Amino acid sequence: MTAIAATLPAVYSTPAALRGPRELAASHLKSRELDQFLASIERKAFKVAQIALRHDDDALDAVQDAMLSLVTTYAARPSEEWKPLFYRILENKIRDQQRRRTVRGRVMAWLPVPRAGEDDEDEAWDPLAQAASAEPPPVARLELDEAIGALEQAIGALPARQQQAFLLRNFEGLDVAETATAMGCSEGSVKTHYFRALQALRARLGDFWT
Amino acid sequence: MSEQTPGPGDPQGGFEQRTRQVLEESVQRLDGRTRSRLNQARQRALEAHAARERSPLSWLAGARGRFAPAGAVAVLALLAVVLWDARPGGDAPLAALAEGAAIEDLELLADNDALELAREGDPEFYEWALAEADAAGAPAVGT
Repeated sequence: MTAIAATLPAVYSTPAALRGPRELAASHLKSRELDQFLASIERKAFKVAQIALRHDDDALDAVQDAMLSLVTTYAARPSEEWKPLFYRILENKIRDQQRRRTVRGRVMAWLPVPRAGEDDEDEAWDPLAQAASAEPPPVARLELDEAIGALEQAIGALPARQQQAFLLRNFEGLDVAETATAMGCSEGSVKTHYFRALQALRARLGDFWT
Repeated sequence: MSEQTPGPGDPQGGFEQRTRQVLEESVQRLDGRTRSRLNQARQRALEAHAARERSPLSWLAGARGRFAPAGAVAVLALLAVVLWDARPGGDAPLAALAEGAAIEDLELLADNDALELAREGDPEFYEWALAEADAAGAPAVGT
């Protein structure tokens, strides 16, 4: 244990007078656990936010805010609780973004239109951002593009609660109880929202999807 | 209830599987910029967590969490004693006891000689005082 404590980064040195090596090592492990958890959910979380907000930057902001809230407020909770908690926070952030967007829309209606590219001025060049994503060959890609576009559009058209239930159950793989925690409703409501979402998507996307 | 999750042989189950696959594929195809920004967001969150851990206030918050139940019990016990003591018609024995003790403490603190004696300690003086008291048949000094 002492050996582990000796290898801890300097950032943990300040409270050493107050905490023992065991607690420092636990803190280090917690950080690693949080890192792994956030890395495991970040892309799906972004997709959930993107479908709900239909705006990449707003979706990224919502995910970042949700990550911050989780680690500053709920890091001490057992890691099994993190996923439903995270999605509950994310849902609140998405609602905040939607409200903010409504207000922004009203304000912007009274302001002059900004010049193209004005928003990107302060963004630093990022080599990782230039990296190509893993993509299939052109023909398959085209079909997949269509499928993804149609599905995202259909999910985006669902009422908010059905959308949430569908994405958390089907896409993120939460069970009914976890989805109920994330949505802040009963398990019965989750089942109802999910079933209606499936019906609506099936009706909209047709037999091609079965 | 009709909201049963479809089984594997059910066409509805195939539909669910297909939608899941397409969504998974869309996640795999996120562009570099988005992946990079998600990574940055995660790093910021972890930095915030580390900063919170570094703060002595976080230790206090943790200690508060650990000792909160014991502290709450102690406060409740103290409150119960005070309320019992202050009830109408009560003879307030604790208050009188505390008052007497406080006066004794004040006298001891105000008496420089007594303080000096207590600090330095003088076994010969104590032996002499004890012998004097025995000889006089009086109670020993300090009893």
